[in-house]
Amino acid sequence: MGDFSLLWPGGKSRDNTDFSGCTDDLDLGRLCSILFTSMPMAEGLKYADSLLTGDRDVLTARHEMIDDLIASYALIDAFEEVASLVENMKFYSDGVRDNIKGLTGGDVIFDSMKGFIDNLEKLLRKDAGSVFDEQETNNHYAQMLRATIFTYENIKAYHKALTILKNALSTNPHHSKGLAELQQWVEDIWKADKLDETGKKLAEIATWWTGISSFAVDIAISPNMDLQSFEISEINSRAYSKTGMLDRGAEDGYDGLTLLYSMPQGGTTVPYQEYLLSELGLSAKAELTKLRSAVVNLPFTGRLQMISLGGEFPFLTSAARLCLRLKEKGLPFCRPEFSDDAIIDAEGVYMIELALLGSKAVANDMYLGEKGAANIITGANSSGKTTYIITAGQLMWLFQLGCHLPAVSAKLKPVDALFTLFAAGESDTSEDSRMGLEVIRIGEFKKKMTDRSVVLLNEPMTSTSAAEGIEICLDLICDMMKAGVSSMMVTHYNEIYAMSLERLSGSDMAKKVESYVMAIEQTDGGINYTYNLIKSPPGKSSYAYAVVSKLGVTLEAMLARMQSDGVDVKPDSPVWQQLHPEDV
Amino acid sequence: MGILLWPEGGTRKPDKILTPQTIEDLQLDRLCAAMNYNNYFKLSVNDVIQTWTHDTEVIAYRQSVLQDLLSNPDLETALEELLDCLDVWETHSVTSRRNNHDTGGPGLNLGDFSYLDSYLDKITRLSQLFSGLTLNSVGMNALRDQIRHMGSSQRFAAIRAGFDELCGAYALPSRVSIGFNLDKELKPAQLKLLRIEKKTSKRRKMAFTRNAHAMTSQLLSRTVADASQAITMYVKRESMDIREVKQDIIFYLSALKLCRSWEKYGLKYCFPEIRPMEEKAFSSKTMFNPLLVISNKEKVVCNDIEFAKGGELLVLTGANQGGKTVFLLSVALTQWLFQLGIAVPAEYASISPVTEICTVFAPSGASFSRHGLLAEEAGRIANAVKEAGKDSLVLFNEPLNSTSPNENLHISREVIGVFKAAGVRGIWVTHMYELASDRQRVNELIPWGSTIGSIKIIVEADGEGTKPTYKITRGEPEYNSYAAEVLRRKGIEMQ
Repeated sequence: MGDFSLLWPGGKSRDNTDFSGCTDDLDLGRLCSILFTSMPMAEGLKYADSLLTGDRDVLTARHEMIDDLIASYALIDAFEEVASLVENMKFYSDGVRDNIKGLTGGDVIFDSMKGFIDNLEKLLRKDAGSVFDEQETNNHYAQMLRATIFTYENIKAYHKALTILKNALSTNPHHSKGLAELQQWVEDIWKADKLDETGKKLAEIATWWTGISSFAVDIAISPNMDLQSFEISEINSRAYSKTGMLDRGAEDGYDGLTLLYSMPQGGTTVPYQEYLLSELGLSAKAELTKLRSAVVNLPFTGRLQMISLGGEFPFLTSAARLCLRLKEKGLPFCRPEFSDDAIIDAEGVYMIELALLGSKAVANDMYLGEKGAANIITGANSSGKTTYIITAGQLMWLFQLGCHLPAVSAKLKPVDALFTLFAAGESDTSEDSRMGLEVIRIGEFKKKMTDRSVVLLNEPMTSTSAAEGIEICLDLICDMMKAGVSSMMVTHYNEIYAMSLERLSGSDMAKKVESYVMAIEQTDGGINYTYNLIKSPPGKSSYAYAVVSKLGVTLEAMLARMQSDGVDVKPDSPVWQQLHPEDV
Repeated sequence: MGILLWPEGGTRKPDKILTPQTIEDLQLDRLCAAMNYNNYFKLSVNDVIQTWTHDTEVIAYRQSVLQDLLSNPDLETALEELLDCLDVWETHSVTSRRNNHDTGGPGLNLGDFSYLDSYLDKITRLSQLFSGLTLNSVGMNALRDQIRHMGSSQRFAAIRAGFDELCGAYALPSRVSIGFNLDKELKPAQLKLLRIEKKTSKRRKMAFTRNAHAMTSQLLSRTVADASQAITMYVKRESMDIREVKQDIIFYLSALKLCRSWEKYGLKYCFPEIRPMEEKAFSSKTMFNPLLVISNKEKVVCNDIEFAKGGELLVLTGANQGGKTVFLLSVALTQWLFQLGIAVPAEYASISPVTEICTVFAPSGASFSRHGLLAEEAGRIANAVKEAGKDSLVLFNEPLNSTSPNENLHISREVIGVFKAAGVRGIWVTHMYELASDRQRVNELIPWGSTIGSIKIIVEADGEGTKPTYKITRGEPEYNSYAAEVLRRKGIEMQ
């Protein structure tokens, strides 16, 4: 029953795989929200980052378990419920650890101390403050209350989690090594902790222990309005309602006079809460002692392993659920294979977000060679170039998490790092211009990249003059190729492909430069986007007018709009025919 | 909003609300955050844009109010005191005395209700304080009249009667019960006042520690205050009118703080000469970008600029990282601050109001849209065409980069031609030098509307390379964006 990990089998751990700089560019936050639906985006990104790896054995083990889960909704449901219970167990375990003294007895000593202090109060009423302050730090009964209740709740959650796992793994078929090892551990720990007996004991406790949800304190007030003493006047298993007698809606039922509101937190509230809880613990001492005796010796030796496993279940269930969502939509997904000679070699790849949340997601084949391959992607505006390059990056990220992939088939090779350079925004601090930010980013990845890295560039160097931008792009491509770094570059500088071949002529590297174009279909009224990438030399136009005309940014439409808004721009004047020197 | 911002007082629909995109492009949230009077009295960017106006009378009205404040330190003190009072009355009425813990003292303090006494005292004191000030602006005089009137209100006197009637039931309690709900951590997390009774109990009583005594006293103060809601309503109604001016005071104290931050930097500000809208004037000397002060830049370069009469579209070219965006924002923020009615970041300015400020900045890659960056940009241009009129200020910052250079030039020429014909003024930052070099031809081709001008960044030799001076001058474009210089300065070497 030694420690084991489902996601890091064989004692392996997180390697140096680095996708850290491309989160925004690749929209990984939104993808994380789709993948890890139960986590906030930031938490999901952090969780995913902790799982990235280039280790083939680790990835294979994850693939196998995801296959098992995809084949059984019941296993997914079970793992999700257990993950939720384990979250509670973590909380209760921390609570017990922080209040461990509450499980060790010593109540008699504290009772006698308290009796002594109460008597002292009667003798030294005015000077008793410091003695009572000391008493306040003796929170034995608060610890007893928390430790006892948390222990009870922890064992309940532990028993329930193992019951769920035991039933699910024994009644649903599975073939992976990981789940087989998990099942063996569950069976071993069930016997070791005698969980059949624990179940009976918990059922008996539930007949007399209903919990503590609220309590009331009565404060005695002197005629001169001084607060004199207080007492616990009632203990309830249900919470007080929100509404008070003086509030609107009170006719629907209420407790007391006023609205329920939140205690101030931190500062002096903390010892006060502790003090109240100590008094509550003392008042409920008899029942708590009984509960403590009932649960304190129940064995649950596998709790730490359970907590560790619980943190791994969300990845497996999320990855499997994603596949099932794709399947429900009739979309293909595949268990990836490992490639030895290409970074990406995949058929029918599509963007998950578009497929699940958007309209139509067009699938494309995708190929990127290893060790210095350069794909230059051009094509019409709005034809899907950015979607394509983001999809490529997302595919690599999902692959190195160990997920199944949104493709008909896919072979990939793990990379040590993925870098992106997408057209940057202005810096809010006015520190750097758009161009400056891009240059800084280039400097960053040039220092880190190796011949196992990939760089994705989306319309780089547009924030300077075209001639200067093209020259820098060419330098960058050649630099990356020489360093053995594979890359994809989306650009409207259609000259780059021919110029790079010219620059590399006579070198083997020229063979590694490929030109891809987003295909369009010419029609009588303009163009149709196919969103399909084809291997072809760049075209001459980016068909920008096809995009801007749809949004009313043509000369005629802008003049008409201004005129209709009452601004006289003389739309019928012949001068508009001569606006472009080449038209004159 | 009240009588300090609008001559007629009350809430007024703003003349024009800037779009969220323009607010983001102009970094107005940063500017507003820096203006915040202090960490407590803040104005959100949404509060501020509600005050933006192109009404020259309102602008002049506000300028005189701020000038009153700048010239009269006692007025600042009086406004601060009034603001504190307004805040107490407002937060009391809204939060049911959430912040009164510290005034509890020993025992159950029915003095929690004494804020009413304080209210009466404050009105009297403020009335005296404002009567002793020399005020020139119409707005400040109106505020003084309002405060004086409050002190003689009949409702004011009625508050005391209500107080006596409603607090009688709490006069001599023997026992007060508070209920606590436990949270998941088993901490008392919520509470409420359950009962106030006269009879005592015979159960085991516990002594208070000092902390428990203080905390219980505070919690009781809160719960009892909650029961005093009826009285609170009196105060709320009584102070309703004067509370309208709270945002106004924060606005002016924030503007005052902004002026002081510039003074501290050794920079000069002014109240612009207000020119009629039809003049389309924008002239400034020693103008700077206030965002540089917020960023605590070591050096803030100032520029002079005068737009041609009748409106001018200035095409701004020059070196990468030469300060083109900084200059564009200087103009935009000067115009924006002018139309808030406060001082502007320039030693001298003469400005006509605009009906809108429209921005078309190149979107960042992060703002990925499914239709592509060009569609995103075209959408912004289309919005500008829709929003802008002949009296608008439009600001283009390297638009249309997301297509091939030839197509960019072609579309840019049409857009700038249409805006020129419409008489719009503004700035167009670009690396397409032809837009500037071709201006004379376009000005002659389209003789109506505004004029197209050319300004550029001045670059000077710097040892092995060049460096921008961040100064603007009129002239022909240089046909060089010095991109290689940026790589050199950032230490990037290509093999």
